[in-house]
Amino acid sequence: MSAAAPAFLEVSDLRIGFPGRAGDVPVVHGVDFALSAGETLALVGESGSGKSLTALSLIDLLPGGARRLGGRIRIGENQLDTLSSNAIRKIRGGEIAMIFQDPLSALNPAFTVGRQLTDAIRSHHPLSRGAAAKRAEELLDLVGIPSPKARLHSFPHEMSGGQRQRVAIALALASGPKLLIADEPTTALDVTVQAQIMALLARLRQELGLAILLISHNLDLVAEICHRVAVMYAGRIVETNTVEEIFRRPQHPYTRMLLDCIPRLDDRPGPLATIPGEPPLFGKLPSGCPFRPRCPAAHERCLAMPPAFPQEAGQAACWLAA
Amino acid sequence: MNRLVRAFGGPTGLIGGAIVVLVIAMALLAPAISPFDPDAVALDRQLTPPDLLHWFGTDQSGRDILSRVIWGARPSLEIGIGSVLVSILFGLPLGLVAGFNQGSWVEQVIMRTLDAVAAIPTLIWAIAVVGILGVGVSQLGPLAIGNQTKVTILLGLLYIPGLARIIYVATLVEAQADYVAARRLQGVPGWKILFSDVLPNTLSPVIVHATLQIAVGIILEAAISFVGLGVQPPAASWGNMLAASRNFVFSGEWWLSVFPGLFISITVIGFNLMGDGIRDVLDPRRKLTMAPA
Amino acid sequence: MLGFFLHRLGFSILAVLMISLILFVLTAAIPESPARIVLGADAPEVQVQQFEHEHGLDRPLLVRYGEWVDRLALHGDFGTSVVTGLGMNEQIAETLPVTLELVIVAFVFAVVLSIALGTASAVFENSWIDHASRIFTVIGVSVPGFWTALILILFFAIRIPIFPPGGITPVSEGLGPHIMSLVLPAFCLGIFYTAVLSRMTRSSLIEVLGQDYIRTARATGLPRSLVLRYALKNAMVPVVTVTSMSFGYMFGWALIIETVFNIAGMSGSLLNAISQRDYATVRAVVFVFTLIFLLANLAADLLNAWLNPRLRTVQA
Repeated sequence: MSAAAPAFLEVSDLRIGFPGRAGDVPVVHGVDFALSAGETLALVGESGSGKSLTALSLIDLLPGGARRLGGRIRIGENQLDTLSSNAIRKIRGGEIAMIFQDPLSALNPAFTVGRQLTDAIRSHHPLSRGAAAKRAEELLDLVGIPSPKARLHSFPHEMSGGQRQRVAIALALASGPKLLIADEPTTALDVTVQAQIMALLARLRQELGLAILLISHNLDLVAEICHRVAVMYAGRIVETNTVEEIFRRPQHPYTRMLLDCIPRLDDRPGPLATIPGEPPLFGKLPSGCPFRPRCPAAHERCLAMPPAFPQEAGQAACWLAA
Repeated sequence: MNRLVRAFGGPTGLIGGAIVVLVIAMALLAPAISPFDPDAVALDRQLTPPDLLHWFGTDQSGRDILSRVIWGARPSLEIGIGSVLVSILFGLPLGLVAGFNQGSWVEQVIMRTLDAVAAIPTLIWAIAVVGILGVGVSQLGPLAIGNQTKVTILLGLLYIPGLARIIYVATLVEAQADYVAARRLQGVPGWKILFSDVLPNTLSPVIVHATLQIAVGIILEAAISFVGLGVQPPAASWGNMLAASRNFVFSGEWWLSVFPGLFISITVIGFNLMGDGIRDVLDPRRKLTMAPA
Repeated sequence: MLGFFLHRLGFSILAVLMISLILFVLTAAIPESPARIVLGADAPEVQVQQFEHEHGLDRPLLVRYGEWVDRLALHGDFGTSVVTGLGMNEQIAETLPVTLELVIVAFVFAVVLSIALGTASAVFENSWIDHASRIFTVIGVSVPGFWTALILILFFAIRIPIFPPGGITPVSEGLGPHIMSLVLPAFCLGIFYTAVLSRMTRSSLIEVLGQDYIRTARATGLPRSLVLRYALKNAMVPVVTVTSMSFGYMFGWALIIETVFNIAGMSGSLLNAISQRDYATVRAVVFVFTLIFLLANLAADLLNAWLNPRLRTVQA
């Protein structure tokens, strides 16, 4: 987008790992990216590529055991590693919000939708219960839930999967964040509902000027609403570019293979393409290029030395792409 | 050693297992290891504090407390383990049948009845029923039933709902598994699937529950004996030793109450630790097996 | 919600009827005739029959059961003991409040302490406070309360006379002495349940704290105290059932604790009745305890429905 304005989110050399007996086991090996208001960036990769950990580290909610080993995260004017835990709490929801894969387990089953929304609102803004309820109703309306006032009294289990994800989005937007992280937001939903949720995210980005970081393993879905794509493999971003360029001229063999995996209507009948092998285990990277064991075009150079990470759009961490 | 630790779900489980083995060995070897006849009255050595001859002291009749504690392990373990076996004898088939006939009236009748029986407070009913039947030998047709057997059966019956429910839930899960449907489609009769496929898969929670329930049973035995309705004197049991010791608390003869209680506590800790350990190994997803009594 | 309540209430009433029938058969059909107890074992048969006829004991069991239920349900009257000639209502009215006070004090002690311990243990998992409280819970569920009672009397009432060694000092002699006399018995009664409940609270809360919705709550920036409240309401679902059942079970252990401390509560009524072979009184006392137990279970169901909204719609 506009390259002049400073990005809202800037991540540089982010490294995440699990502390182990023989030193830290790194899982994310130095990731850099930036994101501006109104922009949508997709972080794409297989499970285990480190994309979800990267996302969770942005709101300082890494799961038990995992911790940030290095790197910097700047959110607006705040440098995440310099903040107190209370300041981080204010950033969560206030600056950055997140929605997750399974909207049923992501909503508290013991509280009404209205209660969860008003609690989220009042944690950031000193509103009365009534005013917060009014705001909650507006939020439900914003995310397209019919008869929002009545729905305030519903429990999550009384709603459909798509509606729950809408509520989760409303909850994320409760305190007016500028960045929304969506971690596989449609994986747990029906195909028809998936499209509705993606359309909703696109609309919210436009109406609210949100920056959206979409975590996905599905390039097809990404193409619908994203501007830029960063492809992650084994804890590194191996290629980053605009959606159009990624689809038109994929540089990294891994990206190319991911694209081949998307079935197309004009495909001739035949077996679906798959990527042979499996992503490397944490802490057990092969020598040279991490993708080498699965790469159809690997040669000696790939064995000897890892390729450089992409510094700008259109580059890829591959000797062949250079 | 490492494998042994793992088999008991960690070091604490192994400690529990070791305690249990030692206590059972003590009970079995009682004739060989107890220094005195537990019932031998010595009127010249009444209420002597612990010394080199009587390590745990003597009681009001001059009986050796160490010997009585060793022999007292027998009724505690017999009632604790026996009552659990009784509950398995009845609870296992009930839970299996109810779980395997989900949705039918059989399930409804069994589970609703068990629910109602579960609404019986264990200790009060145990005390009241033994009280009503009397602590002497009861004649049931041709069978003469001693009081210890009565307490064992009674506790076993009161445990049934808890045990049957655990088996019922495990059976429900198993009965809905795909392999059971596959076996049915192969034409294998229901009872055969029940015993060869479902039953073995319900055993883990049963073993865990049984171990922890033995711990509960030992405390219940002690409580029932404590109010004079369990093991009858002069036979030694940890509970009735504590009951007798009550009269000497005020005069300060502490050894009468300290040692039997210590042995109850250590034994129960052993079974609890072992049960927790076994659960961690066999049934790691179930975190809460401990039930109050 | 109302449907759910009626459903549970209906079950409870059925359970009361079923259990009371078992109880009646146990206390009225199995033991020897009260006539023999009152008149002596070698009383002439004619006298026994006359006594039984006078007291309506010669009628069929079910008729007598119906009459007992009728009098109890409609008038709340347990009747008069044939053996002692005393009204059972008076006896219960005299001893139940004593037991009730002991149990309630012990229960509140156990619930408050166990929630605090269990929560601290779960929030600071694997810290020293967690290890200490886990050691305490293993000991607490294993050491019989009545033995603890004997030992505590030995040390804190006899050796160092801080507390009275037995009995409950009436409130008329001052609130301070009254409370002091409650401390040891309530502690010994409550400690087992403190251990059981804090252990449950701990593992339930640890499980809930790992749930997605807690991550959501933190991701929306709720303050820690509110996140904990969100977690606790869910974590309490399994705990509440056991907590209210514990209230019922505590009455059983209260009998033993009362015996140790010579407290004139329901234990005296029950044990005296047993030794006097006064089975009608045994029946009345056991029925009261069973009723309390069932009410505690009913309360558990209702609390659960409040804590866990999914139950309301599924069960109703």
